[in-house]
Amino acid sequence: MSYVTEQGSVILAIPADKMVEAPRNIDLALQDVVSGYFNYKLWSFMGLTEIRRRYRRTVIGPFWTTLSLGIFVGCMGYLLSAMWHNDPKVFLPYFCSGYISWILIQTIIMESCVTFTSTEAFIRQISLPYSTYACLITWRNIVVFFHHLVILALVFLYAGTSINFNILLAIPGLVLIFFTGSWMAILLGMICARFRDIQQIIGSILQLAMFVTPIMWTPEQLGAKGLLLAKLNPYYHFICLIRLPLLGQVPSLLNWSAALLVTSVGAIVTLLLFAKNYRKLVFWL
Amino acid sequence: MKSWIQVKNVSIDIPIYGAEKSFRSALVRRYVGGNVHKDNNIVSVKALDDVSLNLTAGDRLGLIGHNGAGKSTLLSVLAGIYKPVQGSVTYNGKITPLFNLSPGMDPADTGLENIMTIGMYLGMSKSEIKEKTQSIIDFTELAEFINLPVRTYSSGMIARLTFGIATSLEPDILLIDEGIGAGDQSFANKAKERLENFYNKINIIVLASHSNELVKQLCNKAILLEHGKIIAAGTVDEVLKIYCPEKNDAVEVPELEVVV
Repeated sequence: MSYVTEQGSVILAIPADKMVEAPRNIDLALQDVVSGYFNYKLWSFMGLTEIRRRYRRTVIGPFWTTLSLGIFVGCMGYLLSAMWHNDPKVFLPYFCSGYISWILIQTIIMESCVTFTSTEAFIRQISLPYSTYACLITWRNIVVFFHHLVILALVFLYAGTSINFNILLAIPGLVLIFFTGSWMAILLGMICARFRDIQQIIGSILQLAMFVTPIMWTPEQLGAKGLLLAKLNPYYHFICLIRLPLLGQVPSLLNWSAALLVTSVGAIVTLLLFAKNYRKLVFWL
Repeated sequence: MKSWIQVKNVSIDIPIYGAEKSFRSALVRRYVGGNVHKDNNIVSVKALDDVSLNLTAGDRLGLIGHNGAGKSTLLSVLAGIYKPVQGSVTYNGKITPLFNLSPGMDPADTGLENIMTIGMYLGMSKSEIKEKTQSIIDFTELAEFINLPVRTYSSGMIARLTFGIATSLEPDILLIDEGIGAGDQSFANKAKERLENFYNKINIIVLASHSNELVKQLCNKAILLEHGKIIAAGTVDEVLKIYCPEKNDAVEVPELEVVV
């Protein structure tokens, strides 16, 4: 059974002459995910268009977010390094790289809650795979993340941090975050469309998570207990996948396996829930 | 390749989520009290009831019926927006729903940028749009206005732009809710010609409309929907006779058979 014809159009089920019954939910969900991800020309275009529109007629465009983030990082970095009695030249690169990684993850999760509710007008008028909207959110935030790297470059200049080839290891990390973000956008988008309260709960959780995750502090400061706490925290591992390469270090095997575990379990749960509710989703909007 | 659509015993129930949309009430319902049949608790509207039809190349089907008869729901099912829980829809060919001529239009973007955005949303590829951009600009007669934000356009100019983009599509199967209009009266003839060319290239058209004139003009077949059921099917004249019997006395009810 092929889903896509030579003309690129998608057949909803088996051709009519061979048709016996309606397609299974899981087939519909898989078809949606495959055709959505491969529709990268559309979601990458939509993502860039949205960024362009958001900052239209401003002089420095998307760098406005970068600027305000930069001021925050600079001030908080100084304050925190004074509090922890750390050398700002050591602490600032750590804080900055961790914080921009956190912002990436946090905004993806926040926007995941409105994947489908914010695109309702499109969903009701044109028939795109649902996963297109999920990829769009994740992609847009990764583009914004690259803008934020400017702050990090400035911090590195100030602190005299040297960069090495390990920085390239951030790329597989970002690929993993893209994949994780896209299933999360489907999962949370779906749940929040059905139960409108969940979005508020997630907001509160994220607020707390920022302080619990070692971003403004290092796990070593809390000793063995801190390390254990960090290692049990999935956010920590995802942040390490980006932060460590940016700082020229290699993420540990534990970081990778924890992140991969979370991602694969999440992806499977999402696929099953997505399949189960695939036909209902449009009525929840 | 020949286009076809087959709709087989499709029913659509649209659930109405209201007070119980929130997590708390769902939780309360599940753990407090004995409401086991939670599905029965959700009020739902039967928008389509056991609808079957076959369409092949050359068919121009008009959907006729009063408000709420299920015309738009049927179009949404054909477009793949509503996925039927009961029954199935199979098709071959590229289906383009044109319920909105300008999805994604942003008034602050230039005409040129909007051609790209709307074209992408309507399912064209980037290269296809680039290829057609010049002919769209020529048709709309917007000339240098095309580089200005759409908010500076008159409503006629906007109508011409969206019309120009929509009619540059090349779907195998087209779904439209009411007709496609071009605005300007002075523009009507040019638009008419373009619209005819556009329609002629399409294999199958399904039109939902309240205007009997439009259905007569565009369609060669029709079905009459009432409360989500197909109550009559046949040629446009036959079905319109049943729909507006006061205009024609002799009414012959064709069998409740699907359109072939």
